[in-house]
Amino acid sequence: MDKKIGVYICEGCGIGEALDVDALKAVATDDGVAAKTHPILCGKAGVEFLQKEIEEGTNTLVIAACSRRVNYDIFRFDGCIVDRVNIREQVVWSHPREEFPALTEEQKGDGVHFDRVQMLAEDYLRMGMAKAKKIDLPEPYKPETFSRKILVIGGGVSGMTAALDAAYAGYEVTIVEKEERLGGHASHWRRQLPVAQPFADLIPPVVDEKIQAVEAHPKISIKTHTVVARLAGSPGDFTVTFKKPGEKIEFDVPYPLPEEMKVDENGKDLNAEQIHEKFMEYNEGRRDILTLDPSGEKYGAVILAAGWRGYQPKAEEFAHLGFGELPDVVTNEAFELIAKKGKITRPSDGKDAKSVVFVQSPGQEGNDADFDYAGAVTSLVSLKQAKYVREDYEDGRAFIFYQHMRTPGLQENFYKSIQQDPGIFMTKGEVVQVSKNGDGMVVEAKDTLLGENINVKADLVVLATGMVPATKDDPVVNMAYRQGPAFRDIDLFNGYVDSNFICFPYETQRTGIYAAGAVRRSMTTEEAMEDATGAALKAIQCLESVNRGVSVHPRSGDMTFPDFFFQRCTQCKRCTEECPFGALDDDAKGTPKPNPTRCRRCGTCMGACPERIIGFADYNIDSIGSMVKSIQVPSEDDYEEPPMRILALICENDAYPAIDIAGLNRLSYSAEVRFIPVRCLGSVNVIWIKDALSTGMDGVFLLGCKHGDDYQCHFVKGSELASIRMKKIGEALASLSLENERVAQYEIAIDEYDKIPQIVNDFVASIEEMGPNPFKGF
Amino acid sequence: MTDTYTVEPDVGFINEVSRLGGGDLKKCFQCATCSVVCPISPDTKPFPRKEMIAASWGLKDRLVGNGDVWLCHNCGDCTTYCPRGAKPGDVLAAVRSYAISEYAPLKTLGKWVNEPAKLPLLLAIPVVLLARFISVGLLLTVLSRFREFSPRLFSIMTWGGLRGGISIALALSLPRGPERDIIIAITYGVVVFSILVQGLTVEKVVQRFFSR
Repeated sequence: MDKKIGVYICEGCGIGEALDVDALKAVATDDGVAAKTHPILCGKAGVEFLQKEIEEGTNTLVIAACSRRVNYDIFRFDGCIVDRVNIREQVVWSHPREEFPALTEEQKGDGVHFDRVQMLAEDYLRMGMAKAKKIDLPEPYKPETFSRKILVIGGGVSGMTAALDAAYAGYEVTIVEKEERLGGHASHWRRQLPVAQPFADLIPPVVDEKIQAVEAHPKISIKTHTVVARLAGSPGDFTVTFKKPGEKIEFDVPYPLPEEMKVDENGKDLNAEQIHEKFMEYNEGRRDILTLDPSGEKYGAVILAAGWRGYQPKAEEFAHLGFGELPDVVTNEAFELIAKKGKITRPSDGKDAKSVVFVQSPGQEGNDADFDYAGAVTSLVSLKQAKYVREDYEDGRAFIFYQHMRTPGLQENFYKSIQQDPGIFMTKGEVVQVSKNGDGMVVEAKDTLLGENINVKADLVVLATGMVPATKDDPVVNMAYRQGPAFRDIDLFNGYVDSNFICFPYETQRTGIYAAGAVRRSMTTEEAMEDATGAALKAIQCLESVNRGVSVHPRSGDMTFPDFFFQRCTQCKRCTEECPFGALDDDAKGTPKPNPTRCRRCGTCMGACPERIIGFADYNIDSIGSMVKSIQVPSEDDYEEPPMRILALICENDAYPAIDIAGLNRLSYSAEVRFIPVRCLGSVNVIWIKDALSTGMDGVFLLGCKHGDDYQCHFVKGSELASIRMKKIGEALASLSLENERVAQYEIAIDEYDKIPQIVNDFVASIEEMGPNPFKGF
Repeated sequence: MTDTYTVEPDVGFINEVSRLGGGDLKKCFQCATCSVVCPISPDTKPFPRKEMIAASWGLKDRLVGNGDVWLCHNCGDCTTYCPRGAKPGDVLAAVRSYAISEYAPLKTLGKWVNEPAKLPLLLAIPVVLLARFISVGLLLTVLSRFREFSPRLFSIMTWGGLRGGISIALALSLPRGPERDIIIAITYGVVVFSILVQGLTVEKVVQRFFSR
């Protein structure tokens, strides 16, 4: 489109008082762009003024006013490029005139004094105009073929609930269940935890009702004794090959080549074609991932509700608890089967088990953790099973030794009701030993609430072991993705498939595949049902986004997608390998094959690409690079003591809002720093840093989300990748004989706005100590 | 190695303490708010938290023989502040009641003391005996001006006051009302006691005082 750029400067919210607006306008007119001011742009008259401008032909608006995080709906003009220049939160609110005084008439142009705040605002306006010149309106990517069907993997309570919810919303659903019948674990239970108010008593398992409802629903088709052999393609257009469990077929998913096979005998890296050859050898009898099964079925989105298995302790794992040695020490899963069969009896001799001890934590060496994969569920299950003992025997007694009694939410009512039973005894404590005692057993515990070490005679001991996600043993989804058939394990979630429990429930690391139930974390039936509804809604959101060509999550509604200039691709595969979401496949030569509907638009590929051939319509190497280059770097030719110029590339998910909030709270910080928001630190291309340093800027820092165990990155590993790249940039800096410390990366959470001034000022101080960039002025 | 205590919870004890007024004892979740607010709780002993878990575990031997439960002066702070409504003050009172019956010379008597229906009867018997002693004593004291009485006669006359038809007839003649039932029950109890216990033992009393 032919751009007609207009700059509009708002004078409201203190901007007009703090800045020399005429000088600001001159910045635009010097650049050949018309600039206009308005007292309150976001008001009715302001918007009408802008609309009139648009009618008169302006189609690219650079609005210098408040943060783009506010009034985004007011300043949305369809068919126009709108760029927001934040001169409110990032300039006038965070740089009060008391601290950064304006120049007096004598000081102006004396070659000594300069107005830091005015310079800041002018730079931001220049950056905004530079960006506006470089970006385009995005055009949506729409897949050629599109399916609105939803595939649910797993026919347990979660899977069936998800299928029902999706079907009620009008979508065609298929359930695949690997067993002969629907129901999953819940069909092996005597009773289950409450799922509704008042959450006080055990109820019959809800699974039978679910099976009936699913079987009766016309929009749900069921495939039992079936598994997914291969899930190829991308959201909106998955091609799924089914098979019987245990079968071997040519459309079984191929596995990626292990790292050690990617080098030759001498340890040299193989080239792309050799690797592909080895890959095909390694996966003999299986078709390559890019070959679609002609008889495969089409689906648009997938709900993974593959469920769990009970944790099976290894032979000597809990020797002190007698597991494996004493036949009457069982897991909670085995106990449930005993209870389902009839009265609770001992596995060893079939006698009545009237005294049952439930052990919540394995203990030993002061370890107070529950059994692995426990979550809060095992506490609740022990309460439930203790009740069975009391139901079966009037003189029955159940003991629960816990380190943590976790009964989240209204399940507290259930705890209270169980507590009322006079024959159920609970104490915090560490079980030290379970040993044989005549006909029965004796359980010894220390550090109990009774204040002493105690022994309890037991007929049966139940270990509250956890729920291992099905994906721990097997990929289950079997994605024909270059990064492999399973979800990438980030070693944080014990094999659960979630990408982040807190921020993005149901979102796996693969777009279009949503997790529900115990495959996501250990949970109760109640939680699994709620989860299933959430995942069903997510799957629907996916379908309804993909068909319009917009991103699903977390940049919901984003119409851009990465565009590759393949002529210059060197097949280095970095983008394919670094994409956190497996969006890129590659062909036999190693050329990436983008799958835009799998993409979350974080730009990690753009940050990774050494050839810089990847970009988005409104966010690319050139647009950010031009912004960097448009920053004015004053040198000694301009002033006696020129100010420092520092570039900050900030994550727009956490750091940008934090900076806005700092401005809102009138926290002030150095005026030498120029912020450029990026989609994710993972999208930061090293060239921008080089650009900044070669134009004479004195330092660059990256401000992004926390990474590591408690990572907060919207794109899972963006900030982590950035930190790796920043370490490598040290070598490049050394070759320019610049100090490593000129480039830094800081972590910030969205609520840590109060730390902004210190981070910024400390970095500026450290650069001032180092002195100006020697390349300044060239 | 510290001593290990073999726990044998007594569900009967829990039910009994509940019946005696400690019905909320199982609500305790051991937060120790009670120990914090209790004015007599020492730093070294979590009183009455420890008593609460012993009660909810049915550890009769840890409570009934424990002198600490008698230190409580029933200020009720623990009950007021308990976040779960377990009412530790009431539980301790119930444990004390239990201990009374447990240590009473006659266990049945001890139990009757704790029963609202039987307590008035238990009180009525000594009251009636005392009244008899006073009325007989006054008469004998007045008459002793005219002749000499053996001092033993006071006991014999007191013990020999058997009750019967007149008492019951008087009780039955009361107008209808809730008190009437209680009075009739007490009267029957007193009558039965006087006939069976006093009547059957009066011979022994006489022999004891006049045997020489």
